[in-house]
Amino acid sequence: MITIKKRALGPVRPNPYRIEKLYNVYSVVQIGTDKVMGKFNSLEEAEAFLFSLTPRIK
Amino acid sequence: MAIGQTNVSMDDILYEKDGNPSKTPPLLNRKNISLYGLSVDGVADYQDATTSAGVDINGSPNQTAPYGMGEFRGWESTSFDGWPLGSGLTTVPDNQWGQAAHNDPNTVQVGCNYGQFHDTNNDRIRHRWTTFTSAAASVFSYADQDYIGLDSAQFQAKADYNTTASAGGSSASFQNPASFSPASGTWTNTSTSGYSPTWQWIITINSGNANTARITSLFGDVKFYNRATLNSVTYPSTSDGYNGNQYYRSNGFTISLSAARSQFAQPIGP
Repeated sequence: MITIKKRALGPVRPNPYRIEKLYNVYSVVQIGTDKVMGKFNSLEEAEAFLFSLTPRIK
Repeated sequence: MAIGQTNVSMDDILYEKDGNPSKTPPLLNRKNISLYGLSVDGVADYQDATTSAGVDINGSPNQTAPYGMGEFRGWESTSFDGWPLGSGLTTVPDNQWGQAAHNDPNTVQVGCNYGQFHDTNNDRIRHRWTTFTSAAASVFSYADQDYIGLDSAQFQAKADYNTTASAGGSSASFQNPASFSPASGTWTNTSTSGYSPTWQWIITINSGNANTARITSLFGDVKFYNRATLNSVTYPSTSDGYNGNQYYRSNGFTISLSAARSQFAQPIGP
């Protein structure tokens, strides 16, 4: 008998940070602690910072 | 991580096929690795050391004889992680997505959007979503769907929806959905430079009376999908995909947006 082993598939991982937009200020906030990690003037800058906090290790 | 160009071992091949090229944790409970099995799907790659049962992992660069370890030089196994079908905030998007209500004596806006982005630098499909009103800060949430060996693949996304906009006697304008949002049921290539496709629904009322405008869907009727194709192979496989299909699918979500332009309007809810 042969067992088919599937490669380990991880689930989509919710990011532990979110971005809050108030007027034109974008704040990167840690989910759970509500700690503000940084404030930016554009969503693109805030996202770049957010993703730098959660790098993919290949 | 691709197999190296020199000193290829059967161990290297097995770990690469197993999606664990760093060999952490090690695959200890195994014996009798077979080059024939490593090369051909449906033939055991190795035996379980305890039960001696054959274990097969699909995937190889060449399934045809003669079989050689050299064929695995530079080869990389491919995989595409699944979509969470949990509950509450563990889903993508979260279960509060698409539900908001607001009334305001001035301009009032209520909306939601969801998009996917193929981030080739980090080998991920990024998901971004938000539900917002003109009353408070917008919150953007994110999730990552990792893959291996699919940088050159064409990723696609799709949404199924049937939403109804109702002005309800107000002078509302609608994005139901926005003009840049693909039609329901249409697979669209996922951008490698930004969140596209994105599906967006918005109600805006700039003037007029206090009547309530809405965008609604049936309960659980909004669903999102994705898949990838590389060298005519579609990911996920039928064994990994949603209900035996070659795609991943989200839970079903409900859109319930309502807006009214008056502080005296009746309380409105999603």
